[in-house]
Amino acid sequence: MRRETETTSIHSGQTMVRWASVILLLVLSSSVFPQMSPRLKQFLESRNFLELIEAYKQEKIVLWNEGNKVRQEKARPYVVADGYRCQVLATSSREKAVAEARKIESLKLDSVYVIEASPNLYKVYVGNFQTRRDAEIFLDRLRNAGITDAWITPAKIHVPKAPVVKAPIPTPSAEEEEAVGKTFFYAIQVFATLDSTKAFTLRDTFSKKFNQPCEVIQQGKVWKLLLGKFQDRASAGELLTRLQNEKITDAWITQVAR
Amino acid sequence: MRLHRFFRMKICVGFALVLMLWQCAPQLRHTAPAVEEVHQPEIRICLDDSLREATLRFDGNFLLELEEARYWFDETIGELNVSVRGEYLVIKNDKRFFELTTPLQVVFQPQYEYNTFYWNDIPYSGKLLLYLDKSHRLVINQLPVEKYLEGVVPFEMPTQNPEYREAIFAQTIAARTYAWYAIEHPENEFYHLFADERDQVYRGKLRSSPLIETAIKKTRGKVLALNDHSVRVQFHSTCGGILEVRSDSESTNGNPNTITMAYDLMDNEFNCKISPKYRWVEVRTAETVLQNLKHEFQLDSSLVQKWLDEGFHLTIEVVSRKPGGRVNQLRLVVNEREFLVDGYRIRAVLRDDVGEMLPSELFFINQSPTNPGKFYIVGAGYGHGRGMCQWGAIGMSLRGYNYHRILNFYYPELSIKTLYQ
Repeated sequence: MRRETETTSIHSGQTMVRWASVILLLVLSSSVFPQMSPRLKQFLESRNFLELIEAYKQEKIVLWNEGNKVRQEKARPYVVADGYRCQVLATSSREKAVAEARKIESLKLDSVYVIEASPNLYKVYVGNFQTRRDAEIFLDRLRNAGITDAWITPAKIHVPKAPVVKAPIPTPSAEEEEAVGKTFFYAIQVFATLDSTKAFTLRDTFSKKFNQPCEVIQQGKVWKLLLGKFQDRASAGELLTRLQNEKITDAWITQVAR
Repeated sequence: MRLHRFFRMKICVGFALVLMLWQCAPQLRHTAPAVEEVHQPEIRICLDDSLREATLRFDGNFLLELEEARYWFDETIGELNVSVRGEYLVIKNDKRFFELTTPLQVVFQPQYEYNTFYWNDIPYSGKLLLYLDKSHRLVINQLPVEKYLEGVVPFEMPTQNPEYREAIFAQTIAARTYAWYAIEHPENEFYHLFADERDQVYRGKLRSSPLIETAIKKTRGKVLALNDHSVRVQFHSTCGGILEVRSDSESTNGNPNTITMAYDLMDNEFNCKISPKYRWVEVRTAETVLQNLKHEFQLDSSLVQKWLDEGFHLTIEVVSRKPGGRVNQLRLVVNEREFLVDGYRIRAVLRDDVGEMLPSELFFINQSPTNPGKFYIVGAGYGHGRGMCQWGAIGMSLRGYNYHRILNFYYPELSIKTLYQ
């Protein structure tokens, strides 16, 4: 047919060598897709499309979509791990928890979290610490900043993916520790409950069983049972070991204002 | 002398008599001709095949003839609301209220050809028919073919540039041929063509230009014919330089499925090179293709969400190409589940994020060298590539070819026939 004979000249004189330089042009232009660069546009328009297909086609490609979960995980700057946080408040009022969190945030000490632990129970946590020791050092800083009724609790913490160069938490000097010792004592927090009757009933039981002073303190609607009164952490640690031997595994050492 | 005077008087009286008769004769009124045309067929266009609610107003007199009475509508009536309420067709505003029981056929008949009705604010000439029964809710515009073309050609081709004249002439003849075939081979008893992309886009009197009027007038009654018979012509926006030729039954020795190719080339230059869609590059992601597959194959939403959440492999394979390089069949595999697509679905499964179809099946794919979930589609042309390439016709027109030459180039087996003067 007429039109087909007219086209034979299109094929003549075309060599694959000519394309080689243009492959680079295509790849380089990939960053500006779909708005074609003038050079790419000129290149594509100057060629018979059948020859372009023959030169560049990839008749089979395999794509991989990693999925939203992985993508979200990758997008997070941290991974979740076991560690410790300082709990500042447990309250049934969300507004109160948020207000307290904002107050602590303004001190610019560390990350502050408001978590709904259970229906109508909001907890305010500060910091992400991989060891209890780090948490204790931070707890002292909190107390020095005027937040006296915080305590350390095991928690899921956020650990940065990329190594973050953080200013080291200053180790308290001997004077500071002595000053802290005059203000605080070590005790074992055995449990926290919303039921005050239960707290007071068990107070006497624990006091007699472990032969230690035992007191119940109230924080918001939560009642805490504190066992022992020690000047140093080591002595508190001995009592904690005794408790753990008695299968009371949820207890931990905390510092309490005098 | 007396006899001469007698004759002179007779001439004067005769002249006065003729003058009196001429004065008494009714004057020819300069009004538009009546709607009915003898020489050209009328065509019925389906404006809406699932009427629910619409607006209607009139410019000029329209007659609605019901069993109980005849009603005249004009611009003083204002805008009417037309709606289907259960088994009733309700036409109302603060001046008129009609509640008509279905099944029914309602005809709004214009008094003069230039009278206009506005259906959803789009102006149309000709009759307006509403046909409603249990399985139909049709809005039909019936009008002469030449009037129909005034609402088609401006939406098929850019019409403002006088240099496109010959291409517009060619397009007008092609569109008339399309309509003629539909009239001769109706697919149903109600209408011949749709007013949207399913056939030719028709928007009444919404867009007009002197060039269109000239094209319709100069090519009046002219159609393309195959051995004097109507033929279903095809046309498309841009072929990208490669036309798909489907051999007609007359020339294929009984094998109508033969597909060959031809270059859209004249004077050693591709005719449609001026088209904005002559070459294009699109970017797609595996996720977009998966969403398109979900839509096309009605995939279970929870399964798709699982793939999206947990990740998936997507294989895209061009199984076969037609002689002109257009993709004939595409194979897509999502986590072992296979989908084979061909025809228009190829363009549908490669839609973009906002649902825009891939311009054509003439393309090749390239995986992104940097992103495993992304690929490029480098393509040519816009449309199916069969019949006349509209931008190719414009290219030929710009190079001085007349419409006879353009039509002969794209439809070499067809000849121009005059149906009516």
